[in-house]
Amino acid sequence: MASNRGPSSASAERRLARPSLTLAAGAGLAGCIALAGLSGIAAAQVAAPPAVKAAGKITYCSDMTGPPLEFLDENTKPVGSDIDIGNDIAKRFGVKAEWKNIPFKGLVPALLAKECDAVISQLFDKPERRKVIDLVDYMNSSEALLVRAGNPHKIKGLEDLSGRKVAVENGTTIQDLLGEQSKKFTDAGKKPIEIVVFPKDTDALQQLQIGQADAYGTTLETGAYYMQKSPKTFEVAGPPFHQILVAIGTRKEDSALTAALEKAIAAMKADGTYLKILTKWGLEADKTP
Amino acid sequence: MHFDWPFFWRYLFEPSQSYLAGLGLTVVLSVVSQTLGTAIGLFAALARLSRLRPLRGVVRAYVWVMRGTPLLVQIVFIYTGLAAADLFRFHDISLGLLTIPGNVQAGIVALSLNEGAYMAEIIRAGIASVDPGQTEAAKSVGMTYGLLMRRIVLPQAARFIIPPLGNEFNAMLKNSTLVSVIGVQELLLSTETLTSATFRVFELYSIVALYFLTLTTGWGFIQGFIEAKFGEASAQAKDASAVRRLLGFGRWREARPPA
Repeated sequence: MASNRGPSSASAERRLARPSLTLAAGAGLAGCIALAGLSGIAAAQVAAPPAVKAAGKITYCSDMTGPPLEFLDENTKPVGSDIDIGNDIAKRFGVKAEWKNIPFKGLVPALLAKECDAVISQLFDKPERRKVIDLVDYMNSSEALLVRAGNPHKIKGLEDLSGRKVAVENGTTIQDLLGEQSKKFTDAGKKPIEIVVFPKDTDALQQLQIGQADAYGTTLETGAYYMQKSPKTFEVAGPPFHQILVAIGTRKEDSALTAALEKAIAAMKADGTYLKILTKWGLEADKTP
Repeated sequence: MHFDWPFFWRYLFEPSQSYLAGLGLTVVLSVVSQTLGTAIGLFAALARLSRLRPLRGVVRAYVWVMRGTPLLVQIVFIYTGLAAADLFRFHDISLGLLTIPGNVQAGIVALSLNEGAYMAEIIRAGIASVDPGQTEAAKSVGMTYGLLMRRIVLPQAARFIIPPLGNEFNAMLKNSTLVSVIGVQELLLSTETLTSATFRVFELYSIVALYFLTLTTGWGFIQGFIEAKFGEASAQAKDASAVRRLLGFGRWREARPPA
């Protein structure tokens, strides 16, 4: 009977009668597969929080005086491992990255004043900071003391700094550590450390360079960078100390961004971008699992 | 608005030791620099009136450079720039119990030199405002240059120098904050160190503003006292009401003659 083959033949007729539709469907499917293949990078896309998506960009605050994590090249363009990480996160969110250069001590106030969405500036994960902002850990760091080559004052660590002049950047952890060590000295009847505080990390380094400070307190990464650049001028005095986690800072009420950042960091670690960036800047020893 | 009132009151009325030390250093820096600056300015102004052309030229160049470049640039240049070029390094000086750090010395030098240029012009204007007849009369009774300057001209010039001098010291109190960039732990840097530890920017900056306002207001009273004792009487209009003085309307009532 003709009706036996009715539906199938009718649909077959319909299928055969519209080859263009089949072709179009086939082409579309092929296209989707191709796109999925191309966007192997985009396969690691992370959903941007609504505010960032709406703005089309994510604004970062950073103190550009901390090589090799964040500093300015000769054309005053931000470069460094933190810059690369921030830019990669923005790419995963599908938005542009904007960088604001703000002195270190002004970073958290700027974040709280909504001048930026996140702080990526080798910001250490400390309890006092967690009281005020949220932190997303992404790597390790430690502190170091930089001295003039030859180590004339034979400084091996914080304990050797009694009566010495040390230059630091305002707002840093090393500033706090030196303050505590100085107090230990005065409690023990020894001379305190003369801590000289500067608005920029590069100002503090300069004091060591021109001989106005005996030591310069900074992170191991920055100290090693300068030693590598001018081994005849600087050397790291003693072993690094106070290993600590480094984090991206966000406002407490911005939990959507915090969650998205955590996902982005996880994605970066999963597809190898994280290790690639750290190795490029010689910081693979600071990676976190 | 998140203003932490308990924090504000606590830090306003119970300043820490380091904060008070910073306040003391600000006052010391300002007073010392202003005094040195006035002395430099006096010598410069007198040198401007000299017969020797090279001397006049040196002073004109000094005033031109120090008034023509920013104070912040001068401070960094004198402390860091000279040391970086291996030209001169400020070393800490120990006077018994007291140590004057190198950057404090550099700050005083920079502030004094800068102030000296402005004071030179102010004093020059003050001297020029004294009636030339005074100088002629003094010469005609046989006074030496030194005597006529010290006894006749400068005391009369002082009346016209005091109001601008008051202005300059007021500016000096505030300009002293600029030495924070070379690490001098004066009031502003003490505030910035505290801000970086507590994150309370608004409260702490309100407090430091109030501290400076107290200093400058205190100086205002001292200046008023000095003017009353030594200043130009006609510069103190006592009878015209504030409205008349500000708006310029109404008849001018004669000021009562000084008692």
